[in-house]
Amino acid sequence: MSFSELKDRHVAATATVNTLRDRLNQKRQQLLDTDVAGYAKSQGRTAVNFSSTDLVCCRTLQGHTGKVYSLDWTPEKNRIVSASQDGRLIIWNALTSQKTHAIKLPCAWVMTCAFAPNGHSVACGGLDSECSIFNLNSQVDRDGNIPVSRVLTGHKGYVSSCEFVRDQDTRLITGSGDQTCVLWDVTTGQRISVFGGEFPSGHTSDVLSISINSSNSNMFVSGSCDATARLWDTRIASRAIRTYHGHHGDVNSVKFFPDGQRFGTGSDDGTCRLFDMRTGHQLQVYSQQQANNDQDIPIVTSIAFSISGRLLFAGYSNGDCYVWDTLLAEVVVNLGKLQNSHEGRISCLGLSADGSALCTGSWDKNLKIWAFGGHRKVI
Amino acid sequence: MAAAEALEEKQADATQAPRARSPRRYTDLCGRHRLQARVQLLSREIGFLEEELQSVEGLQPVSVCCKEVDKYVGTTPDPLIPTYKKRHKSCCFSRWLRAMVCFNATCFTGGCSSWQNRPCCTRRPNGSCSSSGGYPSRSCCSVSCSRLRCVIPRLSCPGYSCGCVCSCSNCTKVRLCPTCLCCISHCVCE
Repeated sequence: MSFSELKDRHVAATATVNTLRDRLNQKRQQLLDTDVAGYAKSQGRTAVNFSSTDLVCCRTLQGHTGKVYSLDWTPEKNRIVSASQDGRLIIWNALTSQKTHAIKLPCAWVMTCAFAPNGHSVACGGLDSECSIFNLNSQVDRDGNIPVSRVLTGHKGYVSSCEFVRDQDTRLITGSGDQTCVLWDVTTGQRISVFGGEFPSGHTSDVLSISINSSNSNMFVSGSCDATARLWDTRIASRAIRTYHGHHGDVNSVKFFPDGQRFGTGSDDGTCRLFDMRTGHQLQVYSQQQANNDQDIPIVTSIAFSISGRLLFAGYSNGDCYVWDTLLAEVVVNLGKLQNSHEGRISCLGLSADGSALCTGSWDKNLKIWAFGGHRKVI
Repeated sequence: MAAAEALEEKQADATQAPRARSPRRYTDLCGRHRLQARVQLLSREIGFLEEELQSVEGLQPVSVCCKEVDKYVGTTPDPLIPTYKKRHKSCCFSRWLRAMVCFNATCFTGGCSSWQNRPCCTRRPNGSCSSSGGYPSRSCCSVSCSRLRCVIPRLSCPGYSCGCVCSCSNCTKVRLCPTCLCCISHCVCE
């Protein structure tokens, strides 16, 4: 085939893709008979009513000397691991605010951290393109540092996100700036599967976030700078199960809804969205910004759902931390405006395993724990 | 003779200045391969989109998914959301007893010396509140304190607050007490 014929084929294929995408959008629009808020209002639902003292900051975890970039709770025992620009991981006891471990990292440019399900190990990754595993029970070296127990190498770009597979202590999924996600065997350090890359239907730009389905750990979703989220089955690396369009900017954060059938996203376009995993439908957009131009809209940096899914916590680049009523699509509290709130961008947040506390991490170098401080009225 | 003439011509050529040649035509293999890869990707994308178009044909409308979300959220308890619960009469006495034991044994005479320096809310006989430690009275005293376990303060930890932690004997869940004046009145599991 000549070069000019190849060019003609490329033009024709591009036009076909655009036509098919338009047809797909039209079909989905026909099925968009309501959204979550519309349905909830039709059922007579009213928004959650929080007083100013219902959600309070009950702990401030101070100790990092740089911006906090990532945090993760243990599945049990209320401990938190945080990663910071200061090149350290700190393990906190959330109840007492004590630091139980401070790990100096071989590479200071850390972007993500995660607790292993058994609570004995932590993983972290960043600009070194590697994922390092630390065993918290191992003996410290002569400098008093916990040594690296395993390094997962293979990514060709920064490691933006990592998460252990909940019912398998030995498996970890990472997301990377090389546009791929990888499933690892932590005990051997080997890559089990690579999701995406040049030919499989993977992301076409950096992967920024991943979330594993707590109801079915074979499924995970990834968010990317290509403005899409993609659903993957760890048993099928050859292609994404589904691609979710809708955002107009980088998808910085993805998190599964507690029922395991939906997931939320947070984006540079300033909105959060709720998607149905199985059908691909966009169920709700959570947006409040009405700026004059795009530059004024604060971006969504991180999201988390409460244990029932009724609340969506969203951290923003301007320090706001909106608590959305997911059913009514209304902001019910802004933690960023409460007493004792953060003084900088909210970079990460996460809910404790029992759903009773939210931890936020910020560029102000602190972490804060928020809990319900109101009264449960009894009738 | 002919060979000698050929040799002379060759030697003559050798003495002449080399002529500039027009640049050789190189085939842009890299660009061609790149374009081929893009066409393959697009073909694959077309296949995926056609599959998705077929699957959308039989899909349920969005309202069905919204109903599922609404149902799930409505039936799942959430410790971060104010809720209303019916109190059963039989629980009242045991709850009162627990509160009394907590106050007398733990807050004031228990093994934790830190509580002696901690503001505690106490209910006066007339039902109003008082508090020690220089803190103003708070409406938190409208509910009784449940069982408390004292946490020894750590001065080296700047983020330390009141250290008040509640635990329920009926469940394994622990809830933070948000301020040193307010005590959690119910366990999460109740």
